[in-house]
Amino acid sequence: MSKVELLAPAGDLARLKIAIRYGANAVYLGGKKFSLRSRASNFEIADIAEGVEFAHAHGAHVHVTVNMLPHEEDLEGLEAYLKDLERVGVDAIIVASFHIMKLAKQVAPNLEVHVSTQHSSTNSGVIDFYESQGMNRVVLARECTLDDVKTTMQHAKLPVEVFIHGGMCISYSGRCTMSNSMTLRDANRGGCAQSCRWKYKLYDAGTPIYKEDHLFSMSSKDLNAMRFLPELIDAGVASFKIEGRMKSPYYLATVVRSYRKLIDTYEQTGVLSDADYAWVVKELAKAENRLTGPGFYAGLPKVEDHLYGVNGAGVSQEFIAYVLDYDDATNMAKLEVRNNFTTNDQAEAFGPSLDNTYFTIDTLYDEEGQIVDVARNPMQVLYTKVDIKLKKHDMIRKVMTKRESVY
Amino acid sequence: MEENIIVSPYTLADIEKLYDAGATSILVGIDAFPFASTIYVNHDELKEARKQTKALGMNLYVNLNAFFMEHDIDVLVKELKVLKDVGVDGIYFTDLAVYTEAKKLDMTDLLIYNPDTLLTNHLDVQEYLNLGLQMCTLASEITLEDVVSIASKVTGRVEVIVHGRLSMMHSKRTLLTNYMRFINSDHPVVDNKRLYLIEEKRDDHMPIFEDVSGTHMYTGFTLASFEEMDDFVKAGIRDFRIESMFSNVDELCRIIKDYRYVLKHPESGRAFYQEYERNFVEQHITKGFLYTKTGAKK
Repeated sequence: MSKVELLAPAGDLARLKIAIRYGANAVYLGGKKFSLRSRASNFEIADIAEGVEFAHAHGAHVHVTVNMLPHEEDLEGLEAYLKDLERVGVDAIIVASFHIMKLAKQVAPNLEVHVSTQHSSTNSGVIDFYESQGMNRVVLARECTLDDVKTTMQHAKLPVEVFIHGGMCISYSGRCTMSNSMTLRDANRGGCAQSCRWKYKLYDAGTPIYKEDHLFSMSSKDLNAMRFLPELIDAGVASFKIEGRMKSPYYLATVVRSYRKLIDTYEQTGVLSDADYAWVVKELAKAENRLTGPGFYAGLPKVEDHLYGVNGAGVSQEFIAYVLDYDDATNMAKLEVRNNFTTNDQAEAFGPSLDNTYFTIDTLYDEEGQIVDVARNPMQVLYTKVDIKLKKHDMIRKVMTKRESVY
Repeated sequence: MEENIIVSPYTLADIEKLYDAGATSILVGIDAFPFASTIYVNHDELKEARKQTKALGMNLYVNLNAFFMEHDIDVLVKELKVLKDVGVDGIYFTDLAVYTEAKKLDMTDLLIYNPDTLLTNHLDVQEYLNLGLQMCTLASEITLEDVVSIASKVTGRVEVIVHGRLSMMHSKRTLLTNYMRFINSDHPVVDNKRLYLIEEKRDDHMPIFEDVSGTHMYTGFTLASFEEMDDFVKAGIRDFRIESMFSNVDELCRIIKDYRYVLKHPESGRAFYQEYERNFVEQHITKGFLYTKTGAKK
């Protein structure tokens, strides 16, 4: 059985590299053209080429979202763009427009074409259709339960990708025009205003039926599918996708590393224990600021799977520094500051090959060797002695006391 | 050829009234897969609808717009066979599994692809029409210029929705039921079509209802395209749908008559639009996106 792919979002080159270093088998990114989340992109073709080179050097793949639903005026330059993606070695494109899918097969045949979740594919009949059209993979709709995925997999003629973590559209993906209607921002061309997460008054023929202190909202908890991973792997799902091209490098590293550990543990031992899940729950709580739930995997979402009157949970730990270098002889770490911290703060280091390890922040020095009381300037370079053997690209977070439970 | 005006009745008894008003096609939902229709029929009622529409020379179309789960596929195949046997004239669908199964049954020529938001340019529309479909429904979020451009460039039939509240969001979730549970209310919300939302900082009344297929939300405005009918016809469009979810049969008959009149007398389009704007203020009559381009970016 081939190993399931862990597919992570890459909002920029830095996050692409972090995702791969922290355990992603593949990353997906949006270019500046023909992509949703265009706001999240700074990938010119040259950047994509650099990302591909890095990914391939680390045995990972790059998928590029070409998932806009183009209007008449959006089609110019499409063919050249697809050829450029093929030329720089992109492995796959994620597409919503049937025309773009067919065109890619004609003009850039080395690109795999993955059918976007914008098509809300929920069964093997849809997969049959795309198989007959020469496509290579289908991303299932987030509306599928675990049983739906399992029964679909029994008949699927193409590799299937499913979402395992991150934000959830309240609507069937791609079928929502709330943003278009309410803000004139086209949700299917990269402008979604997330109007579903706003607050609304609900009436029945003029009579208010809402509560003033808890207005109606269509805001969903984020997806966390960790407890379904074993059955999804056993069902033969080809790829596990993490949502969140807008998320921070720290969030990305934490989430990717957590799922990497779960997948590796299951593939090595054939079992995931409550302790494994508990570790991930605790880990994710250090980075997430929105509550999570099982999405549709456990069945139709219930009242507790929605966010009413609350939009965030608060993280339990805060990313404070990125490790730029570490001197094994002197134990001095070269850090790039990300958030405020000070000498004697309790901290935790982690990395691609470093398990979570607590330590106390020692005396801090700036680049001139002067003692610094408080690290308060983001991106400032500081030095401190750390007795844990750190490596370049490890991360350090400050221990705080907030929520730890997820669901 | 007379332009095709497609409407949904509220009961089968409405069919003759709608015919008299000028409708040429009747669209019904089916019990097996309910999905945001004004009416759902069982097999016997479907045959009755076929009999009535045939006697009047009308088309009978069926709404099969649901998303199907794997366990639905066997029932879907059975229903397609029934629809073929009954001899319906068209089947609206959004899930491409319908195409896959219809192809096996040699009935793709009955299919009308209606994927809400997906058809926004002529090349996509043409690719789907090339599959041998009867017709494609254009997205409602594109401009008149785009509609005309698409219709002028494709080979095959396209349909436009010309009037009514437009579908704005479909969620599989029971959003209203869940909210009522959250606020400990037993107010009936399922299949209640009197419900609407007002965003806390805005004024639009946006209809919302929940049925077995999930939660459906509609625009705060009512689209009216009287003034644009001539442009549509000149672009080669012959199929026009009127959304009637939040009307009644008398209101619907009036709307049909007015569109039929405008099709014969295009110069009257502006006056009809202004009349609707004046007389139906509570419906917030607008031209939707026909002259409003939505932005590609934030």
